[in-house]
Amino acid sequence: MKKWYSFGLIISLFVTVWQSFFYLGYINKAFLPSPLNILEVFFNKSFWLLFAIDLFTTFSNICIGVVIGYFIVYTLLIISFYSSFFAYFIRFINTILKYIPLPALIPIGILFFGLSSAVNIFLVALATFTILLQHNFSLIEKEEKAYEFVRISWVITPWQRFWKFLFPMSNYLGYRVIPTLIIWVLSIEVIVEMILGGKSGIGVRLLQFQQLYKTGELYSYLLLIIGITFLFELVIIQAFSRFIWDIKKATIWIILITLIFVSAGSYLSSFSFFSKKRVIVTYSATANLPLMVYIKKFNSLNFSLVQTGSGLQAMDTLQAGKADIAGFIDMPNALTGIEKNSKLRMVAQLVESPSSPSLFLIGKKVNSLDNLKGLENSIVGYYPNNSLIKSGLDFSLFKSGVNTSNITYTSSNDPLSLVQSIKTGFIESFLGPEPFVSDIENELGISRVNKDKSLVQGVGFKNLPLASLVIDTSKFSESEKKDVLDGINQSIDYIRNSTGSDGRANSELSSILKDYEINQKSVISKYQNYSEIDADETKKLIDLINLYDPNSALKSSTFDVSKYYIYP
Amino acid sequence: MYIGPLALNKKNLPLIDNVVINLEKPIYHLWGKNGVGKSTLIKLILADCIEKKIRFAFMDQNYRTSWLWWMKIEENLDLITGNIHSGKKFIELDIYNRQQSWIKPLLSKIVAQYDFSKGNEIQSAGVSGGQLQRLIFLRELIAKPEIVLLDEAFSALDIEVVEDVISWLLEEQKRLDFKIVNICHDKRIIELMKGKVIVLDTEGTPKKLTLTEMSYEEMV
Repeated sequence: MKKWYSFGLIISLFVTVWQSFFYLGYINKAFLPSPLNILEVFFNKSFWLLFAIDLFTTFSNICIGVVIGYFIVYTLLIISFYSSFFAYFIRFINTILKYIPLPALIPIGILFFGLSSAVNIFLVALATFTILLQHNFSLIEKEEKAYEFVRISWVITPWQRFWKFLFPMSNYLGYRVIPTLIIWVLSIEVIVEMILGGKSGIGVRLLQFQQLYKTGELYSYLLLIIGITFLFELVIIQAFSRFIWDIKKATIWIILITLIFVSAGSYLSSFSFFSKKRVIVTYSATANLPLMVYIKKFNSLNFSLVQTGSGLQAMDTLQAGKADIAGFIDMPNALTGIEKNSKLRMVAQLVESPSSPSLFLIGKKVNSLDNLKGLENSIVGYYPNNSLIKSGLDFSLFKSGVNTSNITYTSSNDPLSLVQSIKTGFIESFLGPEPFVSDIENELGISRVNKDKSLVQGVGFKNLPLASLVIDTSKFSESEKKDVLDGINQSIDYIRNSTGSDGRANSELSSILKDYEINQKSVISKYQNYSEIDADETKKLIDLINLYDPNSALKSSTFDVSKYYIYP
Repeated sequence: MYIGPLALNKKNLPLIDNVVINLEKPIYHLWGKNGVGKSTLIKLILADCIEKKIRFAFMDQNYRTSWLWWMKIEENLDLITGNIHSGKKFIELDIYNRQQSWIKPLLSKIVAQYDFSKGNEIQSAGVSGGQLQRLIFLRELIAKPEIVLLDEAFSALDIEVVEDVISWLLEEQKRLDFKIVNICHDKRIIELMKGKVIVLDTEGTPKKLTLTEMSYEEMV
């Protein structure tokens, strides 16, 4: 009792200090929410629905993977008892797996299974396999060895050795590995979800919360995960100890729990907004204004919007057939994706024109195009993470006589991490689009270098395509395709009509921006519908990318540029 | 019954050079000072039994860990009975009829269970140390051994309990006709069991194991 009392006291003290520090302004909300923020989140019903969906999605994968891994381990061990050659083989596999960090096998999983939940299940099964195999080998070498002579004098068969000796012993002593197993499979599942993206899952949501700065939700999730993992471990260990004398009951319970998670996961997924609707997949809402407008105002085909961790991930999701539309994907990724999958086509673009800058440079050591030399010997972060935007900057800098070899460039899939990095001082300057630049302006009180001047003037483009909306044509009938194109066109027109001469949204558009928590001070980017797209500009762009980033190796000479677009 | 020739040439152990043991009498005790090689010798005897396919039972001071603690006593006994007596149940054996008085109430029990609060620890569950040892002997006897090898198997029990177990074992030995080779450090046990004593010693450089057979009285 005293122990719990002291524990409660420490927790209360900790929370009080945390809240006070927050109240006194010592804690930045961008890093850590206040305890009250977290409490507020816990009172939100939709948060719990989201958490339930994510939890069951994640645990469905985990349960299926664990059951598969469990059965594979014991099947192989049975075979190894019959064949000494196979036993050596399994030991060899065990030795190899022991020394491979499991997350390093994620690319192998993606190679084998593509961007599907099969990757999650495969890796969870592999983690279970590795951990249980080591557990069983340790038993064979220690505890089970005590029965060595007994097995001989009793004329024990290989099957009896497994079913009467190793298997029960392994299960009853399972409490030794259960905590390790739970934390490993959960880690693997969450990491894979973060990498693959998708509609739901704890990993998907955590990354999304980070990218949208929903710190209250982020920390609430972490707290809930701690609680659930703890309870889960307790329940499983208890279950193993209670059913210690009845292996059949234990097996039935494992299968039952798996079925509960799998069916609840699919049930929750089906009734929620992640039902079998058509899916538009995007990176953060901020770069995809026409899509936001489309969903709100012209969504005749009843699309749902799903966010992923990055533009590259959104493109991968589209390529894997898990979405119908992806946008707005930065051009190099969009072009590479279409080259790989001929059913994909671009239908609209976000461009930068000399009169309408979309890319902005902002930094602590530079405040105008005249003192760009301030960038030398500093770190510049750029987004999207491809050569296009960097080369745009380089062209401008060449004209200003800046020695670019003295600049350290860094980039990321996630612009918000770059924004955060400039706030924390890790990088000095940022080159990227709205609304991230506005965020930095507002937070740090510094101005962008090129307020009215496009950074890519030096490249000689009329309109430099920066990002594109890509559609999977195989998913739509001709009339549906027309519906989508018309809807996107209407959305772009709506944005134009709702934007003032200063490039900012009027009140009606502002309300849509607000719904998506987009910075309302942002300057609206310039969008082109399919009738305005100039394929020659794209060809020039491909040459530019190939010049500055040969690894991209886009097929400018062999691939007809018009094939990138739905209507050339 | 001949055991051997036994041979071992290992660093830090006395040399065992083609030793042959003729087990004419029913009981032999291996006697000698610590480190002389008694346990090594009994392991060699055990290996020889395996090689010659002589049915054996082996029990050392850790015999408790060789009990299948996750099964009921009856399941334990049935497992071995089924294997050795072509599918029979333990209660169908003669030995069950002879031992019914003490074994019957134990059949549905478990010998030990894991104590999860203490981690890796087997707790005795309603079966005393003496009962457990008798159970393990019983279990081994079901396998119809030709030779029972004991390596300080009685060292963890009180002498009163040992007396009880030994008299029971010797009774069964008369019926089932098996040899006993026993390592012990306690003369009281030799007195209880009777039988021949093989005194182990070493001589020469490098040290070589010598075996001298004598009666208990001679040894004393």
